[in-house]
Amino acid sequence: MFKKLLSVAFIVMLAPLSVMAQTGVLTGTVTDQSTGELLTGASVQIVELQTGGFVGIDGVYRVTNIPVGSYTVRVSYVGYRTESSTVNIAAGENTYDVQMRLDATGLDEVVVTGVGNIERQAFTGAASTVRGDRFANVPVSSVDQALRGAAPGLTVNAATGTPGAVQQIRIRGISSVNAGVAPLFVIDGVPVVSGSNASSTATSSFGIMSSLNPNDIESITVLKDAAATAPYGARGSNGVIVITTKQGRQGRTEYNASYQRGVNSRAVDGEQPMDVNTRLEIFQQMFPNNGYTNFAAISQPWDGGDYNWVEETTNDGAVQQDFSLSARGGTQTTNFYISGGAFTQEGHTIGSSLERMSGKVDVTHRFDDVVRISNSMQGSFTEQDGYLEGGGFFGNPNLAGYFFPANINPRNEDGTPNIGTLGVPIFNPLYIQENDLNRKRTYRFLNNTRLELNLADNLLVTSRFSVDFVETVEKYYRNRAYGDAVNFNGSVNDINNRNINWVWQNIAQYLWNLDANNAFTFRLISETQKNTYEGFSATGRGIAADGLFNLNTTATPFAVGGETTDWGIQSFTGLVNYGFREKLYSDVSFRYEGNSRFASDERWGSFWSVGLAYVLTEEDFFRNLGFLDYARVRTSYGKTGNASIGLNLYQATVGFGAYAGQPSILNSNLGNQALTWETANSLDIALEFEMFERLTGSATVFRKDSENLLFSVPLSRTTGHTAQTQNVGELFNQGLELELNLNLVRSRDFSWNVGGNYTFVDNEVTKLPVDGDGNPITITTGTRYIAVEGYAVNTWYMRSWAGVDPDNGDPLWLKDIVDADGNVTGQETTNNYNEASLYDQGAAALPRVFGSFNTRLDFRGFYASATMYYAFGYKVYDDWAGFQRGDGRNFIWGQYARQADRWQQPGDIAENPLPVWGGNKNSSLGSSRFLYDGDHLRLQDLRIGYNVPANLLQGTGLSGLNVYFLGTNLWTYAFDESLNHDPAVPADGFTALLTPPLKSYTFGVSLNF
Amino acid sequence: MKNIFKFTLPLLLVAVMFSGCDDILEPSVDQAVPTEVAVSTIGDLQGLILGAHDLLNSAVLYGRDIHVGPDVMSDNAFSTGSSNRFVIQSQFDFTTQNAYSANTWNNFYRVIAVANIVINNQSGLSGDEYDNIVGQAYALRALAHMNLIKFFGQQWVTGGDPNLGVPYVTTYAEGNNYPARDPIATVWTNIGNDFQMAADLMDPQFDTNVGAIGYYAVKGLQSRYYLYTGDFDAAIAAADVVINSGNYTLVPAANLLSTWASGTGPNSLFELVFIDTDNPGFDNMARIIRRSNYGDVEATQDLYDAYDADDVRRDLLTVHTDGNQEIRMTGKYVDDLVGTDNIRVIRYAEVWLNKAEALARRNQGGDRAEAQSMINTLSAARGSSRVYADGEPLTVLAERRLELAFEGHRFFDLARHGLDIPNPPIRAGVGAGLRFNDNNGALEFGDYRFALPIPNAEMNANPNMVQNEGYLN
Repeated sequence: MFKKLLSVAFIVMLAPLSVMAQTGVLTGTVTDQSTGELLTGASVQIVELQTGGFVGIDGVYRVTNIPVGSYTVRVSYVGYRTESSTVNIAAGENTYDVQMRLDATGLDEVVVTGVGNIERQAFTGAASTVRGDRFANVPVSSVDQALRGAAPGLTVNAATGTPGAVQQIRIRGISSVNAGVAPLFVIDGVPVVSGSNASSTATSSFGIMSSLNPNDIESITVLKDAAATAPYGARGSNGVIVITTKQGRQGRTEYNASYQRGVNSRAVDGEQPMDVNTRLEIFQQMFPNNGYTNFAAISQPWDGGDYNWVEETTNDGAVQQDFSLSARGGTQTTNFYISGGAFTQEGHTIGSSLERMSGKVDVTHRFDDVVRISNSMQGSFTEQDGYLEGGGFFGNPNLAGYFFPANINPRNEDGTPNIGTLGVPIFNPLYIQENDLNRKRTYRFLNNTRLELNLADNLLVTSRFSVDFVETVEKYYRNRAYGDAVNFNGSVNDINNRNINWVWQNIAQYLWNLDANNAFTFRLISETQKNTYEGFSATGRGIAADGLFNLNTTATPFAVGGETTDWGIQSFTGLVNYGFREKLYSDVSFRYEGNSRFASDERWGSFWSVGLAYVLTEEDFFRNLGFLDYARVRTSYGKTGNASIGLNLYQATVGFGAYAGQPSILNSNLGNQALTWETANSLDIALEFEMFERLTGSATVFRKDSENLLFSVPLSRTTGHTAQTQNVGELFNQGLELELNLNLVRSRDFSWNVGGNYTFVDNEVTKLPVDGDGNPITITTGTRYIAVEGYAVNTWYMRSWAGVDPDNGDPLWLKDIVDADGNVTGQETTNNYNEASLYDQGAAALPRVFGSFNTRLDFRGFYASATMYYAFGYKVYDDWAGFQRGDGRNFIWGQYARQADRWQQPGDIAENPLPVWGGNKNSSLGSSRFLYDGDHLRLQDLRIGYNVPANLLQGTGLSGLNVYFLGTNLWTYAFDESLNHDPAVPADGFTALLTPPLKSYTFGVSLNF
Repeated sequence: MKNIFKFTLPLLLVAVMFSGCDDILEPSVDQAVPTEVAVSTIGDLQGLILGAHDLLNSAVLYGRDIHVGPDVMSDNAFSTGSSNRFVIQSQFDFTTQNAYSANTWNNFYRVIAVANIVINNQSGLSGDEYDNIVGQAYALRALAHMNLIKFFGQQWVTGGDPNLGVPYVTTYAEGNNYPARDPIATVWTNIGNDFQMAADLMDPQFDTNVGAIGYYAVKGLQSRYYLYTGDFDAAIAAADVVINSGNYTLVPAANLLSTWASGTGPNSLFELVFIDTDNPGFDNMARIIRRSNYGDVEATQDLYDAYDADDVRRDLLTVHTDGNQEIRMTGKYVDDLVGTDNIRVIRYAEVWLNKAEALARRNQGGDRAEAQSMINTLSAARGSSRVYADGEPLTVLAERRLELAFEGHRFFDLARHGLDIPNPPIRAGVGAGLRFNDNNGALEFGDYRFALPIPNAEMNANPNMVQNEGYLN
C-alpha cells in the first residue's frame, strides 16, 4: 500500500516536468552602463522557466537548454537596477547583452526575508536592505554598529564605545515598556541568539554580534512592519534583522585579500577635569561657608603638580586593524565561499581591546535537478579585554579619570603607577589595568545545513537545521598586591556560559499560476527552536604568585555557582503571495506559535498580516505622465507578538540561598498563570517612486499599537515582592520615514549622487496598569524615568533646575503654586529640594527625529562618499554629575572644570551655586541641571578611495585593486552648548562611566585576483 | 533506489513538518521550585526560617545599614562622606528616593513574607519542633514590623497622624495587595501579640544555636518591645526570664575586648552569623566603620569623651593620631577584610539595661534604687570607676549609650525618651564631617525627620499609602 502511494506521488511530482524537443542557448555580457565594468556574478533568469545562470569572471553568462520560445529575461545584480526584457530564443545560440545602471534606493532589489527571497516589487512589507559593502572594511567591532544612519526607522546606540559592546537597536521606536525591545536577529534564515552571553554586568559589555566578520556579510535586511516580519510574526513586534552571509557562486574562483589599519580616539572630548589651582581656591572657600574655621588646607596628598587623570586613563593612539582573505567560486554543481579574518581593535580606555579570528565555509552542491544540499559553517573566536565599566567601581578607569582630583600624582618619580596614599578611596587604574584581568572570550560555532528539494518546477521543499553554539568564558583576575582583592591576597573568578540554540525549519513553497495574469505563491513553514543554557562560576582566593590567574593556583576555593535554563518555541506559518500581472500584489499570512515562557493554557498565540501593493506606473495614466518612471503604493496591516521576558515568570516559585553555611529558602517569584503574548497591531502605508531616471525615493507612514504589554507591574512592597509581570498597558509608535536619492550627474567618467533619509517616531504610552482604585500606576525607574499615560516611554521627568539665586548662591528649583482647591496656578522657585515639583522635561531618551544625508562622487575610479548622521528631539542625563558637580558635597573627588563658574558674592550670575563643604542644600541631587539636549550632527563616514581600472591591472595578475581612506565620526556638532559629553549615549539616555563613541582614521587596501 | 531516497525523504519531511513535540515548550525549572512544592516538610520550614535570617543578614538590613544607621543619625557617629555612604543619614537629608528608605522598607517586608509562608503553611505538620519553628516565624515577623514602625511610624513626629503606622502584613500571596497603613497603636499591639505567640510556641530546648532566633532572644526582644509601649511591668518580667535563666552573664572587663573579637560569646542572645562565603564584598560592617577605602562612619569626639578613662569600653574605640585624628569603633567590628563579624541583634547587657530603664521609668517603691544599682553593676563590670548617683531614666540612658554604642540603638533610644538629637562637636582634629542642620543646632524632637519617608516606589504602586509628614515628593 505504502509503495503504491509512493509511486502515485512519484507520478504526480513528475507530471509538471514536461520535455521539449528543441532548445536554445542564451549567452551575453553584463556591464555597468557608465563605467563599462564587467559585472561578474550578476544573475540572469529566465522568469517563466525559473532557471538561469550567473556572469562568470570573463563577464559572460550562459544559460543552456532553453525550449524555443519567447521569455522574460531578468538580469539582477546587487546594487543595480534589475533589467527585464522579452527575448526570443531560437534553436542554437542566442546573444543578449545587458547594460545595467547603479541603483541607489534598491527599489528593484530582491528582499531577503529569511524564508525566501521576494522581488521587491511583489513585496508588500516594509523592509530596508543595506548592502555588504557598507560593512566590509569598516572599523566596527560589531557589524550591527554600521546600521546607524544606513536605513530609516532604526536607531543604534552602543552600550559603550568599548570594542565588542552590544549595540542597542530599536526599530520604529520602543514597542514595550518592560519586555525586550531589541529586534530578532536572523542569520541565513535562522533565528539566532543576540545580545550578550556574558554573566558579568560589572565589566565591559560584550555582544554576541561581535563574533561575526563583517566582510562575510552579503547584505542586511531590516524588516519593519507586520507583512515583512510575518514569517517571524510572533517575535516581530520589535522588527527583525536578517543577515545574509556570502555564498559561493558559479564561475572562476575569485580571491580577495584586504587589509585596513586605523587609529581611534574620542569623537568628543567630553567634560574636562578641574585644574589644581581652581580646586585649591574652592577648597579654601567652602569651609567657612559651612561655618567651619578649623580645617586643613588640603587633607590629600599634593606634590605641587597639576594632573589630568582623564588623559592618563585614555589612549589616543588606539590602533585597529583587520585582515581578511576570501575565495569564492564554483562549478555548475558545486559552489563555495571560504573566508578567514583577523580583527584587532584597541579601546580608547587604557587596557581595553578586542580580538577576533573567524572563518567561514559555505558549500552548496546540486546532486541533480531535484536535490541541493548546502552547509554553511562559521566559527569564530572573539576575545575582549575589558574593565570594570558597568558602574562606580573603584577600578573603573573611566571613573578614575574624573574622580581623581588634579592634586594627586598618578605616577611615582620613576614613572611607575602611584599606589601609595592617594587620599581618595579608589584605585589607581594605571596599576589595575596593567595587573588585573577582565577577559571575556566567545567561542562561536554556527552551522546551518540546508536541504532543498526541487520536487517540481513549482514546488520547493526546504529543510534547514541550524545549531548556534555560543560559549563565553570569562576570567576576572584581581592581583594580590593592590586593588579590590588585596584583602584576600588576590582572587580569580572563572565563569563559563554555554548557550546552545538549535532550530529546525521546514518550508514548502508552491507556485501556482492560475493563468497568465494571476500568480500565487504558497508557503508553509514549521519551525522548532530550543535554547539551552548552562553556566557555572567559581572563585578562588589567595594567589600563589603574581600573574598566576588560574583557579588551580589559588589557595582557597571561595564560591561556586551554576545554573541551567532552557526555553523553546514552536510555530506553524502559512503565507500566500498573489500577483496580478506585474501590477497588483497581495500577501496574507497566518502564524500560530507556542512559547515556553507562558503557562500551557496561555502558551499559543495567533498572528496574522495582510499586505497590498499596486504598481501605479502599470496604469497608462501614470505612465503617460512622462516624468514618472516607476511608482508603487503599498500597505499592510497585521498583528505581531513579543515574548521577550525572563524565564519561568508564570510560575510561583521559591529560590534558594545560604545562611551560616546552611541552605535556606526564600520567596522568589509571585507567578502569574494568566501570562501570555504581548501583541502589536501595525499599519504601514508607503509610496515608492522613480522619476526623470534620476530621482528615486519613498515615503512611508506607520503606526504600531502595542497592547497586553508584558508589564512588570509594581506591587506594594508589603507583599514581599517588588513587581509581578502581567499583561496590561498599551502604547503606540507612529511616524514617518522618507528616503530620497538624486543622481545629479551621470556620465561615463563622472557621477554624483546625493541622498538622505529621515525618520520621525512618536511614541506614547496610552494605558498603564491600574492600582486598586483604578488609577494608573506611575512607573518610575530610579528618580528620572517614568511611564505615564500621554508621554513617551522613558520621558525625562524630574525636578526642574531654576539656576542659582544671585542674592545668596542657593540652588533653585521650580515648584508649583497650588491654590486651596489643589489647582496649580503657577510656578515659583524654591531652595528646598524636597519641596520642588517634578516636571516632564519635554523629551525622552531616544531621538524623535533622526536620519542621515549622504553623497557619493565617482570619477574614473576615484570616489568619495560621506554620511552625515543627525538626531533630534531627545535628552541625555549626566548620571554621575552629582559627584563632579557637588558644589562642596563629594569635593574629595575630582570636579568638572565647569564648576569654576560658581557664585561667590551677591549679584553673581553663575552656573553653579556657592560651594559649601558637605553640599549646598542638595544641589547635586538629580534635577534638570544635569539634563542636556542631545540634538546633534555627526560626520559619520568620510571615505575617499581609488578603484584602479581593469586596463591598468592587465598583466599584474590582479582583477581589482582598491585603496581608500575612511574617517569615522570625524566631526560632531551638539546644539546644546552646555553639553560637553558626547551626545551619543546608550539607549537609556544616560551618560555613564563608559567609553564614549570613537573617532577613527583608517587606511585600507583591497585586492581581487 | 536513488529515486526512492529522493522521494521518500520529502514525504517524511512533510509528514513530520507539522507535527509538534510538546516537551519542547515545557521549560525546566532547575534553580527554583514551585512554592506549594517547597513547603511540605520540617526541613523546608527550617530552610525558610534560615531564609528569613539570610535576608536579615543583607548589608541593607542588619548586615550594615540599619545596624549602624541609627548611630549615624545621633550624637554617636557621623559620616565623613569618604565613599559618599551614610551622608544622607548623617545630614538627615532624606528624600522619598533615598535607597536607605526603600531598602529598609522592601527588605523587612520580604522577611515578613517569608515568615508568613511558614506561619500560614498547609503542611499539616505538628509537634514541638514544628511549634518552635512557627514560633520563630512569629518572632521574625514581629521583629521586622518593629523595625518598620520605628523607622517609618509617625509616633515621634509633631503633628504626626496617629493612624500612620505601617501595614501589618499577616498573609503571603493572597489577601490585600495594596494595604493601607495601620494605626500606630494597632501595629504595636500586633507586634506584642506576635512576640507573645512566639514565646508561647517556642521552647528553650531548641536554643542550641545563638545564630538563629530562640526562646530567650524572644524574651529579650520582648523586654525591648515593652520599653517602646511603656508597659514596664511586662518589660521587667520578660527581662527577668532571661536574667534568671542563668544562661547569661555580664562579661567582665578583662574579657570584653576578646568577646567582641571572637564571635559568639556568653553575653549574646541572638546574633546574625557572617561567614566568608556570604561574600558581602566591601559592603560589610567593619569596612564602613574602620579606616579603609570606605570608612565613612566615624565615632564622635563626644562619644569618646563620655567614657571614663578606666572604662574598657573606651578601648573599643581607636583614636588615630595621624591624619585627621579620627576616632573609630574598631573593637566591635574587627574584620573589614571579608566581613565575618557576627552582628549582635540582642545581647544580655541590653536586657539588663532594658530592665534598668523599665524600673527607672516605672518609678514605684525602690525601682530607681534598683535601677541605680543595676547600672552601677554594669559600669563596674566594664572597669569604669564612675559611680552613678541616681537611677533616673536619663542616667540609665547615659549608661545605655556607653554600652550599646554602634549597635543601632542610639537614635531610637533618644526618640523613645522624647529627646532632641544633639549635634555635638564631632571631631577634635582637623577636617570636618557631614552633619545635619548646617551648624551646631540639635534636631528637635518632633521634627518630621524623626520618621523616614515612605519610599517613592511604594507610593507609586500602592494607592492606599499615605506619605509621612514633611516629605512632599
